[in-house]
Amino acid sequence: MRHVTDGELHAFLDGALDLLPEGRGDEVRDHLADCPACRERLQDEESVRLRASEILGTPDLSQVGLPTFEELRERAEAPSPEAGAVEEVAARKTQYRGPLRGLPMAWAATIVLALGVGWMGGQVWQTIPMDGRPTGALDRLEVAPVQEGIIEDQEADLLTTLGSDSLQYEALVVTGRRQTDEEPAEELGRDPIRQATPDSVVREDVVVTASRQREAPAVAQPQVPEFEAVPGAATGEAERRAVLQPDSTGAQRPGDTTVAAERVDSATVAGFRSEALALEELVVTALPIADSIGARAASPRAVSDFMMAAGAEAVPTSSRVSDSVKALLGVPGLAVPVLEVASVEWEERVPGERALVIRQLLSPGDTLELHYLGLLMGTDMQLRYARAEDPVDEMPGRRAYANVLEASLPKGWNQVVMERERGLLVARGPTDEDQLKALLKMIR
Amino acid sequence: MKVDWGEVYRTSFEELVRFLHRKVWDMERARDLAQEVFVRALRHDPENPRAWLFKVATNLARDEARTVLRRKRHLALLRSEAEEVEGSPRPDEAVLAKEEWAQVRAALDGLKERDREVLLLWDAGLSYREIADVTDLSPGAIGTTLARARQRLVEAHQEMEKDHAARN
Repeated sequence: MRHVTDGELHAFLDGALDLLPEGRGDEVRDHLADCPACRERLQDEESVRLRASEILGTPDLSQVGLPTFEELRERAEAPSPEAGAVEEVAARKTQYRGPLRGLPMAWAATIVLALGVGWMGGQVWQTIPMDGRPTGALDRLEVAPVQEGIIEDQEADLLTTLGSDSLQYEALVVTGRRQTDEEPAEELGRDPIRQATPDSVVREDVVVTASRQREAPAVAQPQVPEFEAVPGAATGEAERRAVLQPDSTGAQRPGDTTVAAERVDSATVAGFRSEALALEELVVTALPIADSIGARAASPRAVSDFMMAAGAEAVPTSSRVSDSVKALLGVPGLAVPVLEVASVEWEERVPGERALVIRQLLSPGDTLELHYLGLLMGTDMQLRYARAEDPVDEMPGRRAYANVLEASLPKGWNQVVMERERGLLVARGPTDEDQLKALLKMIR
Repeated sequence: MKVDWGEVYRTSFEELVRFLHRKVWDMERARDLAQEVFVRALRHDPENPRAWLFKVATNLARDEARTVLRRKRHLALLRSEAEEVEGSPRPDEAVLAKEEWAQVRAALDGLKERDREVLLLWDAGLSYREIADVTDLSPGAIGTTLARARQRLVEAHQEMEKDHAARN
């Protein structure tokens, strides 16, 4: 039986063994009973755990008066001071039928000013300046026509989520396609995928959000503030994000506006909703590609079904992305040739340890996930460690590999692993193991 | 199932304030943010209240760090100075406490964001499953992340204590 990892020891100490993969919790308990070396490590880790708790300490709350539950409930039940503005905004927003239509002129002006473009009708956006430089990430966006009705549908959903007191916001959304060629490499930051070979086209979802913070009743007409561009320093993702905020002359006050433009991948759309709650922003997202990636059918599908649906050689995107991945990673090909590639992105299940994740469409609503853990291991020696029985926690590849394999599978999904050059390719999808193996063989 | 919000308040509110204090490092602001989060929770009535509370608190604190705190920093400083004049702890105790918190803060700041998040959520009493809900990590990865975060926190703090001792 293999030794217990540090993570498993901490799960043991925290009483969370039941969250390990099936049967592993019992194995850990049995192993600890028999293995003096692991018991010794357990004592060490327990000391670390206790010391960490001591360091974190307990802030003294006696210096500040805490509200009672009744006070909080009373506040929650009190009508919002902005309630009067709600109906007006709601009426305005439900009339939305196209880009910028229905927004107050100040809002339209703000957005156009901030983005510096003529955007109507699917024209090309210009760069949002960030620290005086082009961001690259938001450069040359070809904006597809906004879908009719998208705002109303999403708004209804958000109203349910946010409650009627959150109506005093404006928002609009577009989806777009970004041409990845011609981008200067130095602007692309850490994401090597965006340094793809010329001609490659990566489908991306683009969300543009215009939000307004709570209006004070005394402010009749909010001024359009001058904007300065600041990087998203708090997220450490300056190269991927540009947030425009009022400058120092337009000090933050009720009625101020913020406009943000962000690229998001489908996996973070759900997170946006939560952030929207926290920021009190109305973030509207309705992205067709998210539906196909996010939905995970419970029923297994035969490979032949989706092969027929996809059609051999029908989707050239796949080979192009494979070419770019090949150029980046020195690997002949990582995508199934006949399936459309929905997204290629880095995933970081363990901070600092990334895997390349390629999502391909099996059929509408079904997605094949390919996790490539090649660069993480880097050398044959590390790869051997990664596959060894003995725990080598400090080998980053092993942790990333374990985290991919341990990630819970949706019902009806399976996963298989294939050696690929100097790494491992984990295929996960809503079909059985044999069919996943058949798909992986096509990559070879 | 209907959420017993009185029970959620009893078991989570103080932890929420403490959690937020380690985000904004201002006790009054932490209390205000916790109030805001809880009031929103009462209005939205989410199904998984604790995970919801801490997720929204995390986002709210992040938002705070980006905007309001930056602008109010000088006010907060003035206020805390005024409190010290009439405050209950003796000056030497207050200085000591401040130094200790500064060390904790510096040690936490040295962690990767995700490690810090998981560690603070665990310290706030969330289960592995709740932490996974808040952070979108897989439940199986929480132990590994916590092991690393605890180790690095202890090491960073140890280094600071050594530096402090050397200085004195």
